[in-house]
Amino acid sequence: MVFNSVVFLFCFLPLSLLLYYLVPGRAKNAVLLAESLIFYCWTGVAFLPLIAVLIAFNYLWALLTARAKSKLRGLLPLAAVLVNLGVLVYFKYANFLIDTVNQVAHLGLAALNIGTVLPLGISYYIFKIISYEVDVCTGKIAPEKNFITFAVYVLFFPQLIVGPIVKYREMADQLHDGANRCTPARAEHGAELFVFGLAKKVILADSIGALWTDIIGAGGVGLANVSTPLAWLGIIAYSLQLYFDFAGYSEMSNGLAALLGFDCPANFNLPYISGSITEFWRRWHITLSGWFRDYIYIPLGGNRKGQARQLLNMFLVWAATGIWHGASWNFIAWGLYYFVLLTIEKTFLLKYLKKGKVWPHIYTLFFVVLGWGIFTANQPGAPLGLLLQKLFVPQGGISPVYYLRNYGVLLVLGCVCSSALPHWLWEKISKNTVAKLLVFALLTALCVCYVVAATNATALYANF
Amino acid sequence: MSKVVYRKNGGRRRAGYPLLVLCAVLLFGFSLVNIVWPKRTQLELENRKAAQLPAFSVSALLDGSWQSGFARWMQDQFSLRDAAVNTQRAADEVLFRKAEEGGILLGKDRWMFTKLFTVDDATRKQLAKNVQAVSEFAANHPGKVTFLLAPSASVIYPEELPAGAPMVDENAMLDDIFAKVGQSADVIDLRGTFTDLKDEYLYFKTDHHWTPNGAYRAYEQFCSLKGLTPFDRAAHEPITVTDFQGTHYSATRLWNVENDEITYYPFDSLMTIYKITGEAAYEPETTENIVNMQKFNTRDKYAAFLDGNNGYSTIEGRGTGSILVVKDSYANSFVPYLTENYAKIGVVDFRNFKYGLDSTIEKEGYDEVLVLYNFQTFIADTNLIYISRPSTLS
Repeated sequence: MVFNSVVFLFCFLPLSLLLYYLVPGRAKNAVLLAESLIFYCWTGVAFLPLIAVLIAFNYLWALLTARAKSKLRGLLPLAAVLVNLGVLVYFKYANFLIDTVNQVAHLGLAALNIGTVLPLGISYYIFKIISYEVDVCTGKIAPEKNFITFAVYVLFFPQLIVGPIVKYREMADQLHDGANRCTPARAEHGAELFVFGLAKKVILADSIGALWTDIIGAGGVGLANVSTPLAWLGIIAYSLQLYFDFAGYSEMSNGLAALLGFDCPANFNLPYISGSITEFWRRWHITLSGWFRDYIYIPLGGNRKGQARQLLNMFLVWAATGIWHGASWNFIAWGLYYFVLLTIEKTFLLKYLKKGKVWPHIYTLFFVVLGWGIFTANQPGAPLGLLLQKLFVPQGGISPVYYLRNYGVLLVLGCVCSSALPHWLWEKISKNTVAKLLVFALLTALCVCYVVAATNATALYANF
Repeated sequence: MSKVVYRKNGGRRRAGYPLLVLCAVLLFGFSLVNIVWPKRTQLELENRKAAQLPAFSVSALLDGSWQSGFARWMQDQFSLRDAAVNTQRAADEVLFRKAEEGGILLGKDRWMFTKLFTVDDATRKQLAKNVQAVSEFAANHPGKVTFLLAPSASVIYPEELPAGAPMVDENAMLDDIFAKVGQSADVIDLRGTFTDLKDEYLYFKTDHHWTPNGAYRAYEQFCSLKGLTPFDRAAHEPITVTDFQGTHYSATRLWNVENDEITYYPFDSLMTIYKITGEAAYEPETTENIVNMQKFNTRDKYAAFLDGNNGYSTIEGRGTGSILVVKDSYANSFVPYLTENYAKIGVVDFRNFKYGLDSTIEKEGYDEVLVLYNFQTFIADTNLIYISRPSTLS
């Protein structure tokens, strides 16, 4: 059930909120768990045993870890991490690994029959669970004693499909305070976040994304036939779509969390206004880069063990970031592309970038957009070699005129909404309550129209 | 991580939480209205059936199919659905200046055209098969076959297309098709006539068909090829049906749509529609007027002509000789004029007639054959290959 569907907005959400608000504080977690289970099982119960076992195992394991004697304390969490990662690898990467091994060693191993559909949200909840296990082991948090509370953390329906990957320690206080976490102020902020996120997803992302589909999709004109300017226009449109899709979904998630009484960290902070790649990664998918920093980069020694070791650590983090996005070589290449860029920035470029005014932004956008070209190269119709040739060898073909005519306004709007301007504007409007309500009601109504008329495209990042 | 500061003014807000109240009203209000809103079986404006509440079963619940059916039902039965879709399209067209909606190009002067930017490999292969099938069929019936391929409206009115629309080169494809089929059949290429007459009402703006007038101009060209005297429009009184919104409108829901009109001549010819039971085997099902007036009262007004697309039907005319028309729906508004020139007109639509033609032609003794399609159906039609299928009857 995606958030941008009629069934979620006008059936699941009102019923869930109503029930959740009506029950007393001590029952709120149990109700939230039941609602999250319905949400999880909306596409069937096939993977229910998997997540039930994972929750039970990790609940017990964390309690065990906290009580273990010092000698075992290193081993127990290691086992937990291996089990959880093992599940992720099995479902997400097994066939990719078998395929790779077969190609390298010609072993002829048979592919596993695990279906083509990933268990819903597995990349996100496994990372949430691992953060919990590691934090318990390092003593940052006490293990959760209440099974229901722990299950709510893992299954929390606003974060189930595309995150954000919020750590247990960031939600623990509010998880334990069922009586006081819901406040009108928080709920109002949540409703605002949700509608703005919904608008990003259904008005901007889905409309702008159609340009790229017009080129590479089934029935599209084909990347091979487009001119260089149209290839650039296409990849820029894809970059905007990816941002609004994912940032919109993350905002909806945080908005829902706030409606339920939880403050969750923002996942995006206007990434396209960054003046360096380093800054970009502090603004894009913040919870994921934070996770890799806290649970891979720093445990490996971070920057404290000399420059060679730091480079190795960065290499590992970015290879992992790449492959987290999917079992495909283009994602690994995309991760390593950022490793190279960040290494260059760290070694010498960053100090020049800090002095520049305009060119650092152009530089950043150029490499980020090019990066999305690598990122999307696993889609049929967008092979990387062809895309690079189209982008960098000037050539004729289908001109961008029609696409500018058809998508021009949306593209400009997309660029404007990638900046801080809408936020500034909203602050101004908010000073006048009537204007604020009017604008908000219109935006909400328009979003509903787009939801009703659309075919409910799922979030791009649900596939990662 | 930035924490949001919620409470200014020391935790008090004078105006309460108006935005929250607004959201609650919208959320619960819409949800309640949704429950009581009357449910529909047909989405008239979208030309399709509305999803119905799925039958409940435990197994459907466990595999998720009940849930997806329920979600489709909510989506289709949403209160104010028609208004919501209209608003979304109007926002696309007015706010975002879109030039395309639902696979239809929004041209100048409220023209709408089928978007055809690419012909994929499968379609190219199908086209080659169709050209070959028609050519073979014509070669097997020398001197009898006429091939009329109507161009798309975008070929006659290219200046009305949105700026820079990279439409496929239909002219080149038409040249190629006519050259190949022309080796064994008489071909009728309407581009010259239609371009000369482009100020006339040749194509509907809201629908993918030509108008009865466009069909008449094609019929005139057919008559001059065959040496026939065309039906005299000046001697008859036409009837005009207004407020026609065709398939292009269903796809785009253009906010400032200009409704079409259907102007036709009432012929009193009778048509017999057959039920197909096998190759060259059919039995009469109904006999009715060639124009089913009742359909002018529905949204799908064009379906009044020949009462839609039937597999095989025959029409009594006032002329001499017989002709078999093999066709797509473009022929539906064309065939009535033929009643002036032939005594018997057979009509075959391969969508509902999946047999070779030779046996039917032999059985009924047709003197001539007219193959009438429009370009866009012709290149992709997967049934036309039946035309050259050898008879399986011994």
